This record gives sequence, structure tokens and C-alpha cells, in this order.
Amino acid sequence: MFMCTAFTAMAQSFAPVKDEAGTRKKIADIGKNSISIKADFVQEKNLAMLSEKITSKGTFYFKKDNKVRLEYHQPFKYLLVINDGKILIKDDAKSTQMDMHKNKIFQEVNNIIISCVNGSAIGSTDFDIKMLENASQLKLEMKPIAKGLKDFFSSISIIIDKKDYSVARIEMNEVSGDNTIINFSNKELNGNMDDKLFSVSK
Amino acid sequence: MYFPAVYSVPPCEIFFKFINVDVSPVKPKAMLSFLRHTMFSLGATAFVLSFSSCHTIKKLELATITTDCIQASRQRIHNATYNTKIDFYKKHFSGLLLFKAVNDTDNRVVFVTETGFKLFDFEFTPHNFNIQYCLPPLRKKMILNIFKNDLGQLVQSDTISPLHINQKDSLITFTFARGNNRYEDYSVDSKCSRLTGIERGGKCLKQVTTKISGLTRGNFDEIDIYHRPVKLHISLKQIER
Repeated sequence: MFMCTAFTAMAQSFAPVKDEAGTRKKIADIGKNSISIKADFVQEKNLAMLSEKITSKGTFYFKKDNKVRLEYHQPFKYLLVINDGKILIKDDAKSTQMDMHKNKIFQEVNNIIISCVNGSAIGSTDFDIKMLENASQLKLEMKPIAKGLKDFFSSISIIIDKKDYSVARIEMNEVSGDNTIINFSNKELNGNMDDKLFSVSK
Repeated sequence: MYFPAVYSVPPCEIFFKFINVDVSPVKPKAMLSFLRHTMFSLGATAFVLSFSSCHTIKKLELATITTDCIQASRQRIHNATYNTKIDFYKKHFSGLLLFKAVNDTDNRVVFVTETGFKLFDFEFTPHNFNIQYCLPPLRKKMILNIFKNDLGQLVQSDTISPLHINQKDSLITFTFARGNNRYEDYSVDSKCSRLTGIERGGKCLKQVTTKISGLTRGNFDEIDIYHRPVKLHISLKQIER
């Protein structure tokens, strides 16, 4: 039993990447060639001080260069579409369209999501990035350097599956101790994706 | 997450909407006719109200009120999550409100966006309101007061005796004095099974009305808070955790 647990822990643990330059290039190249991604996601918001967790589920869509669609199905209906500097938000009551550049928080969130998904985070100067790996995954530990980000996030971790270099998990750790973890599954890479999915008209 | 957009409305616009003033020139004759019409309407309304109140409101003594009724008037939210919508004039915001009882007397109320960003975390104790966290653009006295009062009424129950208790139609209403001519009415259904609404304001005119429906696992199912002077509506629907 102890042996088994120790073995699992070893398999999960990450060590510094051996070929950092090669891995950086690989991530950047795959990101450049990534045309579209569709995946299911489970989002967990952990409120540290209250030992509480809010879990929601949905479908994530990404299309090159910077189109994002987040559909939340459970336990509430909510849609967020980001396309060409515009944002569409739909809940079960209303839909709202807004200009992303007028909202700094949205801009930051959009940059984080897109840079994590398309691999451009690896070249970001906003973060101090440490690269780790185990047998099946890569882990990018990103410590914010930019002031706005530093005030809010203590670190952001991106877990990448080595088999296709797609993002498996994003962990956003806040200064307050809270965090948001998004796990991706059932990933469809570079499939056909209708542009209508990213329409931001109400 | 897009809550800060509320500040994109110029303060003067909010102010004029708030006081609902039409600043265009008014002709004296039209003004007189308007005043006559208003006075008549107010008089008629007051007459109807006083007449109807004489017939439907029954004063009750605290000694005659059952424990169930008192318990129902003290029902509050303990541990629940609500899908929350806020409509302020033409602006619409949404997110999740999480209520958590920390112990028998203290509660925390946290608002996060659907995408997981925390906007505020408030602590309510019997005599204090503490801001554990609040996104800087929301740290405005007016906004904080609205949240303090609207959320406080849902988690803090009274230990003092009501000023008076009335029975009107199918509701039993407990009125509490809050000082400075401010009052709060907590209404329970005639079966004394649950709290159905809260009204806050002056003796006659209540500026904030809260409608409550359903009760699951000791927490309200749906809550609608209406602010009469401003077009502010806060709507909460309980969701599975």
C-alpha cells in the first residue's frame, strides 16, 4: 500500500525540464499551428478561508487567432464570447455586448486564457516562468512580474499533456489564497469550427 | 468580472436619473394643472389607504404569537449558493453569491463571477460589518451600504423585540425600529411556516422591498430585492452546490 502510494506520488511530481530550449520551441511551434480547440471543462473556485468550493462545468472553444467561447452548462447557464476586442455575455436573463478595451480585468483574463491555450505564454515578459516535467506532462509555473497581475495572482500554473502538447489544466492562484482550477477533457484539436460560434452580436 | 462597467455611467447621469428630474422649462399653466392633478391623486390615494387599512390590519400582542411564528420571522440564509443578477438602470451584472455561516452568529457572503473572479467577501457579525475583500472599484460608500443592508437583512436575525406586530390579509408582520425614523418589516405567511418578505424604509414609505419565495434545506429558494428610489433590482436563485 505504502509502495503504491509512493509510486503514484513520484509519478505525479514534477522535476525541472531537461531540455528547456527544445521544450520552449516545441510549445511555441505547436501553439503557432494550433487552429482550433474544443474541450469540456470543469472549473473549481476554491475559497481558502471558508473551505468552500464552487464547481461549474461547460464547453470551451478556441479558434485562431484570439476567438474564445466559454459555455457554462452547470449549475447555471452562462455564455462568454471574446472576439476581436468585443465581448458577448449571455445569462438566462439578458445578453450584453461590451468593448473589451474598456474593461481592464476582462483584458487581463482574456490575455491569460489565450496565452495559456495557444502557447504564447511561454514567451511572455509579464511572468517569470519555470518549466517542470514528469513522464506524461509539462508544468509551466508562472510568477507574475507585471504590477496589475502581481496584485491579484501569486502564480499561474499550466499543465500540458506531452502526447499532443495541449493544455490539460490551468491553476490560477490568487494572493488571497483562493484559487481557480480549470480541468480540460475530451479535447478535439484542430477540427472544423464554425465562425458563428464566436459571433458577438446580441 | 464586468461589474466595474457600472462606473462607465457618468455620476451626473446617475444623479439625474436618481432624482428623476426633468430640467426642461415648464409653462405656469401646465404646472398648475399638474399640481392640481397630483394633489387630487395623493388625496385620493391617502383616503383609499386609510379606509382600507382600518378594515384589514389587526394589531397582535407578542404574547399571543406562537414560537413558530417568531422562528419564521427569524429565518435567514446559513449555507447556500445563489445565481445572482443585478440590474441597475440599463446595466446588467451577474455572478454567484455564496453564503456561509462561520459559527452561530457570524456569516460570510462572497460574490464571485461565473468565471471565478472574486469581487467581494463580507463578514457579518451581530454588531459589525467587515470587508474581508472588495475589488477597489466597488469600494464606494453608496455601493457598500447597499450590499451591507441588502445582504445583512438576509443573514442577521433580530434578538430585540419587535416594535409591533400586525396581521394584514394572510401575512403577519413584525416591525422593528432601527432609529432615525427607519423601520424594518419582516412578514411571515399565515401558517407561520416561512418568511415571505422584508420591507425597509420610513414609517409609511418603504424604499426597499424584498420578496422571498420557497425554502429548501433551511435556505430561501428565490429572493428579489427592489430599491424604489433607484432602478436597482437584485435577484437571487438558489443553486445546487
